[in-house]
Amino acid sequence: MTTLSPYINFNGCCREAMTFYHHCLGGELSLQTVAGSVIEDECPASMQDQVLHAALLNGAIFIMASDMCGPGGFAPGSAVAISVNCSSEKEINTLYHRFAEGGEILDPLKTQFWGGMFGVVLDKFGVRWMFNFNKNELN
Amino acid sequence: MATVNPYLNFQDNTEEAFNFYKTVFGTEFSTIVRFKDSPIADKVAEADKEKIMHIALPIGNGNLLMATDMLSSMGQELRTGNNFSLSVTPESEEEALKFFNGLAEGGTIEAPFKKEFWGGFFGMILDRFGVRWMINYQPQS
Repeated sequence: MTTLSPYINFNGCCREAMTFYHHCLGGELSLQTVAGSVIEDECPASMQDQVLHAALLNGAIFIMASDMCGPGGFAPGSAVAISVNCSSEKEINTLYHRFAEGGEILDPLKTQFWGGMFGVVLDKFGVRWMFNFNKNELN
Repeated sequence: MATVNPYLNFQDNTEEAFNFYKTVFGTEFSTIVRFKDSPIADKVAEADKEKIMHIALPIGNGNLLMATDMLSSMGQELRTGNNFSLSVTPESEEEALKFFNGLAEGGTIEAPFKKEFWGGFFGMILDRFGVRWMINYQPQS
């Protein structure tokens, strides 16, 4: 089955960010540092502890990330957010508050005009998370 | 259990981008809401009423690619960066090539689609709408 997943680039804080997401979402986190990888010898000492590739898997949740960025360096943009579709009111409340720890609430969690609960958080690593739970879909 | 999906922002051209993604992935929009049909219709400039407030394109059996238009008339400006890519894992090498070639049309190939050291096939594209895609295909051993 074809799947679509977000791949996030960080600027040296990939381990910290993915550890935080692991705390928020649970599941299994794997982290591959530059040291011990096939590009180890090509990279300076300052990069050895950086994350080459990280993956967080929990059921249908699959998020990947890295500290590696292109030749132009790291440039944070606003083109992509991660939408979290929750399966219960309890779950949306829990996830929303966990992700908001140390971050900024852009849109407080509440029931919206379409009948679903929705809220947006900019987490402490600069990633935007949109939480939604559509009560009507359960009917 | 929650699911996660990428949500994109475009500067006024969501519909054009999604018409393109629809042809690449071969699926139909599951939702399309224009500003004129939303509760904030009265607050939106006349020229923006047809713009997209929310659109969703199913990919595979469980994922949704979603997006909205940033409206210049409301002071919303998109910041283009390189902090996100969309990773697609197709079902077969054939499908992987179809997606790769489709997304590459008018875009820039950043890594040609080929077999990598980890045994999987991989390619990367910056598409003509500024979205970066990774196509990953792992043959079953």
